[in-house]
Amino acid sequence: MMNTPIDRRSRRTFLHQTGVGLGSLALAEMLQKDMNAGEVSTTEKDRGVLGQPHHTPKAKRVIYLFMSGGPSQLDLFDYKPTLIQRHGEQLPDSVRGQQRLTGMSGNQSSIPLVGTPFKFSQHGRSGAWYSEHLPHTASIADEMCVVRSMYTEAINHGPGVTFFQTGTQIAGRPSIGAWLSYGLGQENADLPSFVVLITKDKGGQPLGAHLWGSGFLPTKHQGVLFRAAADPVLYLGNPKGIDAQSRRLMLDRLKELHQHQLESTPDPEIQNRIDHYEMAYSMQSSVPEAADLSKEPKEVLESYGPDVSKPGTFAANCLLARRLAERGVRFIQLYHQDWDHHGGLPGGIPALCKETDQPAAALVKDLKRLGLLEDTLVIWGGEFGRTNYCQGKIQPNFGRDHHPRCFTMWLAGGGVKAGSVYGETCEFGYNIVDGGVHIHDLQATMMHLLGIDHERLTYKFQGRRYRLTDVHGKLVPGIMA
Amino acid sequence: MLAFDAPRRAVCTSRRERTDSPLQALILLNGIQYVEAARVLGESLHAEHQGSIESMIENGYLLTQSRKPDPKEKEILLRLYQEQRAYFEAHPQEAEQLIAIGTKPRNTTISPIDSATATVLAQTLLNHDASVVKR
Repeated sequence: MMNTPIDRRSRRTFLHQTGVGLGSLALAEMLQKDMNAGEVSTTEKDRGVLGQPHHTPKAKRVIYLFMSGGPSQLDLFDYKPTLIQRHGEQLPDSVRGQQRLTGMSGNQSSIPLVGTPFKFSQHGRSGAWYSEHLPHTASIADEMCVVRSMYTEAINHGPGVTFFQTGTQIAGRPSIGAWLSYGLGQENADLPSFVVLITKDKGGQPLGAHLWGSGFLPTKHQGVLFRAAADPVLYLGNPKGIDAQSRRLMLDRLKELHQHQLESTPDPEIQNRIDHYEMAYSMQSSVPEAADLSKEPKEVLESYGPDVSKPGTFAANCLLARRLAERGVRFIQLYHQDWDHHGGLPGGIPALCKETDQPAAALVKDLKRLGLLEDTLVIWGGEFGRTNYCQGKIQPNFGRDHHPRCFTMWLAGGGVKAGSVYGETCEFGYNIVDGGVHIHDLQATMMHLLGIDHERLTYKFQGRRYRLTDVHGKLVPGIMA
Repeated sequence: MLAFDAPRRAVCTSRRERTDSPLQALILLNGIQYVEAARVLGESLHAEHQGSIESMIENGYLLTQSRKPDPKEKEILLRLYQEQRAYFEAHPQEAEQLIAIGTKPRNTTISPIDSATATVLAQTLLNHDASVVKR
């Protein structure tokens, strides 16, 4: 495949990808072979650049339920009776140490501890604690690994979400799903390998296309954002007067033109365009079939809760995610916004739980019912946690500020130690005392479960090799089965 | 325009994100506005060149890509034109349906079959990488 047009590089592409000046152009020929090794040839594209995983994968696909805004771990999973007992007292200096507070609460003259207003109880064989507003999630306790010791450096939403999705706080690097598509290719040629679903009509912190972008990887690896509506993709139908046969003829000629263009302009993006048109053609039939929830049994629909009948809700998206997972979509990214409870937390948390608790738990149960849970990794979590102290003065409708030093996520399915709790925070819920898991560590572990050595899936750009975890990331054996 | 990365105006955007996706292909192929635009371009090419297919292809290329097609491109589009024409001759009703899309009145001096064929030719040109991507 070395001599196909896509393997030849334009001068511009070469300079762009290597980030060097004209003086290095002489090297181009010498390096050509090396660079070609990193390029996906047309015949191998389905298996990605790796061809095969580095080791036997435990998980084949991921459904990532992103709770955008930063859900309060202290009111959902990380039960701290100390905070209830010492409600209203100042955060002790011995706990805070020399740590800075965020700009939003750093000027407060008083930083009073607040206990959770919710009841907690223990569930499952691990005895993990769950808030009263997560009854459905608590019912799958024995499928989950609750990680109470997540931490990040990001203190605000944009960088925080970007960190989780791309491995760095600055926008522009490839997202997880793009790396997986690049590394492992596509399981189903008729559907994109990376689909993004966002709950409809939620306010809160904005989400941007860079979160599912492909960065410096070819754009065909970027996430395809489905609409939060009954028709998840617009313009799937041919215009009246065009049928599949005449469209196919037209696309075949367009492809010939593009291939011809590629010979004179060796820009890999032309190959991407060819692939996008082929994918668009496939999606015209594959998407309506995947998005049609009408043939789901009544009890399955009911298990996701009443919202499931409304397209674009978290419940409908969870069910759609399961259907896409069944059809070989490798990375399905859901977003549910509005967890940013700086104020109004006692009312906000129950409302958000009502929208997400049942569908998330139903998804795990449904995957299990279909035998898919064993090789599907489900991840739940936000971009950071929330403070153990009150933002502003203590009042019934209080809120909590951003807290990156510890927060909770949960994982279930493919290769995860089911029915376990990992990591521990201090009695004040402010610092991690055991088993800290950084974003890079979670990403490294996730890639490991998918059969990828995170240090060996790289892409050379601007003169150096990049990877999702960049120069960081340690596996966390304790959360793996 | 969201599929084409139009900023949502929720936050300040210093540089518009640029992506390429199958969703964009679907809009450019099937969106009413784009089908109508292709019909109007196709009809005007047909009228201007009195149905001379070679001149239509040549001028269509010039209009959409600022250059003339090379012999290979001409050959591919000629083949496309003949295939599509054969299809619409066999399916005259489809030709009528295709050219009825959009609000701009059609050029009635051109036969429906010619008009539909010219529409698909123009669609191909408008979906070509060099017409869509700014480099």
